[in-house]
Amino acid sequence: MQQTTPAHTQRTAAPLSLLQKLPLIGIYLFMVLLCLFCLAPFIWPILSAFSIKPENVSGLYLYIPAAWTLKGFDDAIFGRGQALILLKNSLLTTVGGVGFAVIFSALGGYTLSRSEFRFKRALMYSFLLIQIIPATATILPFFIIMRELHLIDSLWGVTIGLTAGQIPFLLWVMKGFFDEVPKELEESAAIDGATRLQILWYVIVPLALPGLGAASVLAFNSAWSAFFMPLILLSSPDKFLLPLGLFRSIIGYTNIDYRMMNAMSIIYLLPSFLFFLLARRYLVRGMMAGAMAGN
Amino acid sequence: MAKEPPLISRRSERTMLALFLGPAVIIVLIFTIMPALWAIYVSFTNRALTGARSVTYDFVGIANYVKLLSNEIFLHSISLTLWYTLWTNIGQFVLGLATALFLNRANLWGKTFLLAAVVLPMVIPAVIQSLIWSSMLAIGEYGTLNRILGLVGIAPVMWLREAPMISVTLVNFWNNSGFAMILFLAGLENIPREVIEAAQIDGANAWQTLTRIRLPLIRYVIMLWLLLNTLGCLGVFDLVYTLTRGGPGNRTQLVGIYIYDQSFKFYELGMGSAASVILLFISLIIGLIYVRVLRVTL
Repeated sequence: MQQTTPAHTQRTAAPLSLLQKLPLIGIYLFMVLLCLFCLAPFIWPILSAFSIKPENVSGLYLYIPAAWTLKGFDDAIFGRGQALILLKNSLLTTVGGVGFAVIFSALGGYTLSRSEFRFKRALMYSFLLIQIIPATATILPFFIIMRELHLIDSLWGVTIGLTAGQIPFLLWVMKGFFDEVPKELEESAAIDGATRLQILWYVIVPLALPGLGAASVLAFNSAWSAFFMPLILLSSPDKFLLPLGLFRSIIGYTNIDYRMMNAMSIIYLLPSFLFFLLARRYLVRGMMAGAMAGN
Repeated sequence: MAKEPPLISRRSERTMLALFLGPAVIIVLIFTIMPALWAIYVSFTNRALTGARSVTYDFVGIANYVKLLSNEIFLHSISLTLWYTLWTNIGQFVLGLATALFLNRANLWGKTFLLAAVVLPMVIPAVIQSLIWSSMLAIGEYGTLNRILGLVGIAPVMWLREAPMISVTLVNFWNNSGFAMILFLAGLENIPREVIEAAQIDGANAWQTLTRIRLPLIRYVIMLWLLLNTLGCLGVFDLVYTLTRGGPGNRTQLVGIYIYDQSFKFYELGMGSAASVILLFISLIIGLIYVRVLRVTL
């Protein structure tokens, strides 16, 4: 950057006047403010989780740490935070739910990509509609159905709920990926005597794998954040997921241990943050592609 | 050779594919579509979640809807939701468009980093958003936001008590503005440079190129964003519930919270279902417009 600046000034007849520079300065100022707005809220949880607060200051406030410690994580994992149980429940339901959703959506997406049948368009649009309708509108009858099926206060119930929630999105995305795999490939595999399932597993899935992986990661993050559905289904604390455990601690304790809570948040956030690092490019590009489809 | 052609026969082919698609369709049917239909049915009864009326209940016709639409608390939650949706849309449209216009130029130092910073809050689960912001919005002069405002001489505000809806909206801005920014920026960057240059040569000023060229060219992006954002606002629950639980009083009782309170706090299934059905229908209409827009342009 520094080296190109002299060349740039040589090319322009006169150095830029302050007035001409002003909009650019304004833009950079705006960018700095926006950046602060996005990132500054993260300072407190990180400081709080790793430090000992000075005396006579509420843990809720941003403070200059008196000392650094990992006690918060100790409390969260081995103390009253019980993060291990929560983490186990969260992982079981999310991995299970997204796993089932990925399998069923891969099979279904393949069918939608390869075969023509009546009502196919209607089916595709229904799935799109279901995906964008807020879950809030159907949560109550969903609860009633789960109760009829005796899936209340059960991790299986949550797993099934997560599966059902992720299928519409995954089905659409997977159909798109399968559309890009040329048909000729599977025709030659079929001539060699492979069955449909073999073709799907050995020919199509490997080719669509990067896309499938990205879509699964997206679905995982969305399921990992799920709050409303587990909130109404689960009532025993030993079945709680991380977000529920966190929430109950926020509203439950009279003397909230913010260090422990923030340590637990960081444990809960790790997959989301990994997801952010892994999928940031894909996330931005995916959102752009979604919007560009309309252009 | 007498061997049959290896391509699977048409009939078994169809069966196979039906088997592939079956599980996905059945799961969505049972756990998403049936609940929606059930909600419509229950909304015409006086069924309760527990007690005698959970087993024996009567048809009450449109009584729930009449009760609901003359219930001040429900009307309050509807109007809160609509205001929340309106202001969120307006604010995030302006902020998103301004940011996109600012960033839509080559060689802006730190642009990639800024976009990453903007996306980060979008992947944070709602419970953590609320925890993080409970410190930002903390009362007293040591609350982080109050400290910042104190720098310009503004007296401390009890955010979650005095201005609960503004607090919720603010956190939503933090979490969700990136969506508009990134979509609009993508739309703007997709406009060929020549189009803008041609307009400038013809003497169009900045305002004219914006309103006559740029905005019309990204209108589909804006439309899709508007529809998705509106649906998200209408159905919001996680953020509001974890931040305020609808309070203080019912000052942040948006429709999602109302449905939750009616159903799981007061166990009034009929009322809860009626409210769900109203939200469902509003969402369906917006969703159908979305599908329509998408189909027209596919």
